[in-house]
Amino acid sequence: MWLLHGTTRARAENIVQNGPNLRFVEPGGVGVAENFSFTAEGTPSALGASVAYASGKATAFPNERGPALVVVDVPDEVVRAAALEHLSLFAGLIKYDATAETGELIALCGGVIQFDPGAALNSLTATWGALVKEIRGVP
Amino acid sequence: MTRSQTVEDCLRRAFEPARRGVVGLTEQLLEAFAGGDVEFERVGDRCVCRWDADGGTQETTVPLPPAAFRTILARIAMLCIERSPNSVTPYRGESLLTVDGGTTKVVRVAFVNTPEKQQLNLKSVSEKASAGGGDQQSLVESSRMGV
Repeated sequence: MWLLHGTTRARAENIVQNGPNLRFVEPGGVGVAENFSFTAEGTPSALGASVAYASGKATAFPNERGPALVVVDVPDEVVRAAALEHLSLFAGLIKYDATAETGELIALCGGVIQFDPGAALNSLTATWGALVKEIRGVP
Repeated sequence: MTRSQTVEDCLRRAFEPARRGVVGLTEQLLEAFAGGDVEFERVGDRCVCRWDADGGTQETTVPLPPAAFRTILARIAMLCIERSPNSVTPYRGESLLTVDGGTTKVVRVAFVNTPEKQQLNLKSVSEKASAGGGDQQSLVESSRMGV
């Protein structure tokens, strides 16, 4: 499944090279990222499009060479695991069927595939170097 | 909102298990507190709700894990942006939303969703004040535009 992460070009290059970093701290900030989110290409998100996040980051950090998308082809089973782990973090506030189709689980997550600390993230980072990925510019 | 019992009722309604995922849970939260003035804030690994009562500020921990709170804040930002593009960023802002929870109410939302701070303020808006707003978008309508 092709996933999109909106950010700045400078960060996109670092992410493609080194993988997601949940300990990342933005310039001038003190808090760590804590999680790493994508949207699925071609799928609407109730939490906002990756392009919009990229533009927002580029505006906030004008020295980071503009907006960009990290585009990566993540195995479906890893995406599914991330969705299930994220739903489990709601501690019962969201009802879901763990056997439902992956698309349904992603919809319950608001159309976002969020990697929190856990097995799905470990799987993503362990295989990151072998995944097909690219950086796309944002008009 | 002045009575603790009322806030507790709202909290129960807000945090009932939702069938419609993040979108539904966010709707529940806004509908439960439409007409009340409350603040939610992440404090360490928990989320607290504060409200004024009996001349002071009351506080209680709510069953909202930090990851869930951040996701709800992201959904609220999107609702504001759907109502009025560029009115807020995904990271902070303030806007009016119309909430359809049986009776239609206007809620002023202010939020921060950054790695350093996560906070949500919900304030009721008087009918007189909201009458001039004009372009508040229905939460239900916004939901249809989402997933």
